[in-house]
Order: sequence, then C-alpha cells, then structure tokens
Amino acid sequence: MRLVGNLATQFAPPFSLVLHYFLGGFIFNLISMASLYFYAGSFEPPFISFSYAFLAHTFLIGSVMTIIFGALYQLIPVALEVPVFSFFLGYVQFYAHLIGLLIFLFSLFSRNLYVMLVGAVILLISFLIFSFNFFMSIRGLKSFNTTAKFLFFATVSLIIGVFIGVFMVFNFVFGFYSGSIENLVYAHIIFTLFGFVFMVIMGVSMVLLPMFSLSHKFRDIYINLSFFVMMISVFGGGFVSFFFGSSPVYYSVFLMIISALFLYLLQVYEIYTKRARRLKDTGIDTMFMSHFFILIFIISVILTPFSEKFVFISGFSLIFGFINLLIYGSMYKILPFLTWFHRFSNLVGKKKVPMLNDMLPERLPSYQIVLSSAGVILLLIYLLVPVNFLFYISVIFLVVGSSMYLYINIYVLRFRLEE
Amino acid sequence: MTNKDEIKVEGATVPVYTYEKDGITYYEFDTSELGPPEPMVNALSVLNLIDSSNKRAVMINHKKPMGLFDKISDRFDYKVEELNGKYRIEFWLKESK
Repeated sequence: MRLVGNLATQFAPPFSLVLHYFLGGFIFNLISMASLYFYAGSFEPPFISFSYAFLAHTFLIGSVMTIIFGALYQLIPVALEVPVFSFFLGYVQFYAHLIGLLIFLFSLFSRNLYVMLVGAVILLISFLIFSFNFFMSIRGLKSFNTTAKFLFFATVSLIIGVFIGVFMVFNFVFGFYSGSIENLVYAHIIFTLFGFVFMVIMGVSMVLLPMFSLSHKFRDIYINLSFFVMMISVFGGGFVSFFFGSSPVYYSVFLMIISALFLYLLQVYEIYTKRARRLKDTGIDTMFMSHFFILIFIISVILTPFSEKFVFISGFSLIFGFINLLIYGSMYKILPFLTWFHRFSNLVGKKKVPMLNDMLPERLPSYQIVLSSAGVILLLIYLLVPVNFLFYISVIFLVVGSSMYLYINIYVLRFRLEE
Repeated sequence: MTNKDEIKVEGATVPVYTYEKDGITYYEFDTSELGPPEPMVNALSVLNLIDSSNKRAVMINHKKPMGLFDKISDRFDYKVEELNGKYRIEFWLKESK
C-alpha cells in the first residue's frame, strides 16, 4: 500500500507555460507547410544542404520539438509522478528556444555562418536548460517505468545530438575539422530525430495511447524490446556513424532503427486491440492511424539503396506523415483537456460542464485530418512521380490543413459555456 | 459481504454506491472505463458529499489521477492502492484521519 497525500508541490504547470509552447508550435507548423511551396521542382540529391536543413529545422525544432517541450512540462508529473523542478526555467527555455530558432533559421536562409553560430549557441543553451530542468525533476525518482527510461535516454541523446550540431556549425565557421561532414550530419540526425524526438514519442505514447483509448492489461514486451534495439541503434549507431561512417554503416544503422520502430508498431497494435471503448473519436483514431506512415518509412528505408528518391520518401513519410499527424491527433485530446481543466474543472458540481468533444467544432477536426493526410500522400506520390501539379495540390492541402488546425485549436482555447 | 446501495449524485456520470463499514459511510464509484475528464468530473461530484470525518469516497480508476490530487489536496487526504492493474483511491477530509 502506498500512502499519498499532503502534496506540498504543485504538479500541474501553469496553463500559460504550456500555451506558450503549443501556440509557437502551431504557428511554426503553418510556416513549415507554407515554406514547402518554395521547394517546387526540387527534392533532388544531395539531401544534405542548407535548403533542406531550413525545412527540416523549421518543422522539427519549430513545430515538433516546441510542442514536445510544452507537452513534457504537462506530462512529466502525469507520467512519472514527480513535480517539474522549475516552471520558471520552462519560460526562460521557451524564449531562448524561440530567439535561437529564429536567428538560426534566418542564418540558413541567408547563408550567414556567423549568424548561424549565434543561433545554434542560443538553441544549445535552451536545450541545456530543458535537460537540467528534466534531470532535476527526476532526481528523486525511485523506479524507472518504461516512459521514464525513454525520456531519460532521449534527453541524454538530445544533449549529444545538439553538441554535434553546434560542433558542425563551429566547423563551418572556423574549418578545423578534417573528417566527413556527412558523418556529422548522420550522427546529428540519429541522436536528435531518432534519439530524442522518436524516443520521446515512443515513451509518451505508452501513456497517452492507453489513457485516451482506455486500453488496459496489454502486454508490454514489444516496447521493452524496442527500447533495447533503439538504445543500440541510437547510442551505438550514432557514435559508429560519427567516427566510422560510410554508406553501408548508415544503412545498417537505419535497418536497426526500423527494427526498433517495427517492434514499437507491434506494441501500438497490442494497445489498439485492447481498447475498452471502441467509439469513433477523431483525436485517438488519428493517433493510431498516423502509425501507418511508419510502415511506409520502413519500406522506403529498405529501398534506399535502389534510388535516392526513397531517402526523401522515407523522410517525408516519417516527419510530415507520422510525426505531424500524431501531433495533430494528440492535440485534439490534450488541448481540450488542458483548457477544460483550467476553465471548467472548478465548476464541476455547480454547473453542467462540457465534455472534451463538446469543446471541438463539429466535423472540422475530421475534415482537417483527411485534408492533411491527403496532402502528405500526394506529396509522397509526387516524390515517386514528379508531376508539379501533384506537388502544388499537396502543398495547398497541407497549408489549408495546418490553417484549420490552428483555427480549431484557437476555437478550443476560446471555448466558453453559454450563460 | 457489505450491502451496497446505488444513490443518485448530481453531476456523476457513473453509478455511485454507498455502504457502511466500521462506522464510516463510503461512497464508491468506478471510472476505469472512462476517458479524461470524466474521472475527475465524477470524483469532484462525489467529493461534494464528503462533509464530515465519518464519510469517505472510494474511486476505482485505471491510473493515478495526478491532476485530481493537485486540485483537491488542500481539502482532502487520500491513499492509493493497486488493485488488479487498476487503482483504488480512498479520500477523506483533512484532519479527520
């Protein structure tokens, strides 16, 4: 038996802290989709370029990581049952993150390496603030559950990946490194995208998917296996790529990563089949369905030796397909809940309070998900069959989808009870 | 075997049962099949009934309701027990333990 009570510390973060991150993430999501327009007729090798780096960082740091940080400030107490060390540091991190990112993106756009150095260092500081806050938050944790293990090593991986990124930028300016830049880029991608973003998603999914789908008593063998394969892939594969990278090495590391992702998919399927309630729900349905894009990623990674087209297909299916749709779906569950908690939880027992679905506009979230999914699928087809018409339609779908997403989330935030 | 009677509680969306044990009246409800925010809605509705030291609320839920603890910990103490993969949370008024 465990006695809990007399909470001396506030667990839930201030609503405004999470909103800072979420609103920033929504706006960068729209900017990323709109900036796709300027890539018409491109997506040709080599994929290592400032031009693609601009798109990748706008989306991954601007939209994905901004939302991840906001979500983590909310989820650390829920998932790990420990209070966040400092919400004040959360605000400081947000402004450092935003300023660093804007400077960094401007430098990629203008190709100004000195400005890039400033942006990269400020971003590094913001990531270190998060890491310090995270490690201080979990310092009293007695046992590490699956989510805690994923988040711990994800944060370690973030630090390594970001230092590699900053090392790269210092080298662009001062030119002291004689090794392969490709090795640095691959190691940077492995540690930040797979080590941080993906391991956070895997760990947090083990809380959010069962919580929102009411799935209990599922076996967790696949996620535990996936964790070990992911650890070897990221920490083993990342350092091997850094020091001894070559095409066969990168390919082998990616084969290991897709093995880990396949095990993760099996775990998600296990949770899906153990749902207690099987009602239609746009948010949770989208969260589950987004995982189909991981299958496309797995197949396209296997096919990369046959054509460089598959490098782009794998990248877009994973980032704009899986990660983007997963976040869209999650937000239709998380934001209504946070708004409800902030605005309506005090009215329980005094007034009739809305349920989460009441706070979303009718049908619009489903239309948005269909439009954005169609946009990604058209983009993937365009990468196989480069017909510009397909590209422009896909960009229109993605931009309109992202605008609808912004509108729906603002609708949720402004939701009030009728007097 | 304790006799449990179902009662109507304003705002609750699940059946609430009441029974007596060792001179204490318990109000028990199960939200383990409900998604957020319904566990909290039900808990806050039932906690409105706990107005003396001889009344307690018992919640069965699929996870520890950390957000709820934040909200009620100034008025209530509670203990959590794991129960076949679910959680049994017992609440009572502070200073009435």
